[in-house]
Amino acid sequence: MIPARSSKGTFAKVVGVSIDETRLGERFGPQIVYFALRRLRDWPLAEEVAQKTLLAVIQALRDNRLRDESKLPAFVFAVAKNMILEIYRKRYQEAEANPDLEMNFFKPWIPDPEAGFLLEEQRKEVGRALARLRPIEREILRLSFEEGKTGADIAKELRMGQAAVRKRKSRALARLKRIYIKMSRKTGL
Amino acid sequence: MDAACKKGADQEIMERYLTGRLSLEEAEAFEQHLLECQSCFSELQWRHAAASELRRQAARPAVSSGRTINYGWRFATAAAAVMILMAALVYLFFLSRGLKPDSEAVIDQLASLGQPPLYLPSTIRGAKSQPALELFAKGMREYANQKYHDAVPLLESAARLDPDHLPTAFYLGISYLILDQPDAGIPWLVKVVRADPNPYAEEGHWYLSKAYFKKRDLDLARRELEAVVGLNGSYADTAQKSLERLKTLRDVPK
Repeated sequence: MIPARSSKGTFAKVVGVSIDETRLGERFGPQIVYFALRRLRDWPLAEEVAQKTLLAVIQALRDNRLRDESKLPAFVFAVAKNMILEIYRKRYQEAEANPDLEMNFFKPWIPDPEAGFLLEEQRKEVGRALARLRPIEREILRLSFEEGKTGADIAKELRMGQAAVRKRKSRALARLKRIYIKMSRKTGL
Repeated sequence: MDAACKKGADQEIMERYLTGRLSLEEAEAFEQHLLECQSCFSELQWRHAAASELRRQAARPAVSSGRTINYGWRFATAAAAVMILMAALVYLFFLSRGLKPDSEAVIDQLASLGQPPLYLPSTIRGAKSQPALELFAKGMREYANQKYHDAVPLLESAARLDPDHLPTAFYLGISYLILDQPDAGIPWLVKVVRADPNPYAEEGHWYLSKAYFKKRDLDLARRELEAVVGLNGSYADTAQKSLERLKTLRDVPK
């Protein structure tokens, strides 16, 4: 956890500006977990990366190692990336130390592990919102999001014009977002 | 989304990020932006939620059922007659091939790779002193950037120097599949699944089933799916669902 108050106070001085340490977790935490999860495919490890990154950033701020507040996001990203690379380096070392475990470096690919990032309620909401779309709209979104197909590929597969695919997709996204936001407000999530 | 946010306005970049189609540099630049722009991160989150849910929904609706065809009323009767005739012809066509009319579409779906296995390029220790590892590292950099055409020759060379290096065989097989060359990919994936012990067994069988689906060899595809189920790992449920879908096809070789 990020300490609520340090010995030097809640705010770290950064050349003329102050950054609220306690809000760093709120501001960057979810993104770091998300990025780490995409790379490491391990939920507890991703959380650990976020914790360590934020602690390292706070320490750097206290040590006045960041001179420009506008560079804070880039700095946070660089620290997180280093943390992740460090984990990779350790895995290589383990693999080198024990040839029988060599392949452990390559963690099995699990389809969409980041899905664990979503709350069950949130998932249900999205499911309900999707159910209210037209089947053709769902199919376009599925081909686009799940199979990563381009507009041209989708148009070819569904035997539709590219403009029609583009129009239906943007309409579906707008509709989905509208339903999702409306439901989120209703459920308070 | 913040109207002033140019990145967020570029819907394409968000989708390409979600489906892993950005190069490493592009993805990192976009992630840095996500740290700066809360509205883009929120947008990404709900899109991710939608993508995950779409993926989760095993039963996929037939596209034709959702298509709205806006023929005028005066053409309705003629259109219906033409459609019935076409449906009958399509049915007869597939019947002649010993499959249900929607079999081809189902097999296409079963053959679909989805998002290819992720690989994060990193410095491989000892690579400089081992040419095979160095070639593998170079090939995987191309793979991570979705340049599969460039990855293949490098991985082929790595495999020639070190035929027992399983990651090389695995990613080479996958690269060929992505390039829609199942015949070239199958021998590499067979090599992967035959190794014992190896951590690629489950993924190897899974992608081998995809390769056989691409070749329309349903019997071998089913055998690979059964192997995946037997391993009882993270692909077991998905493989079981694929087997069930396969059973719905008529005249599947036993």
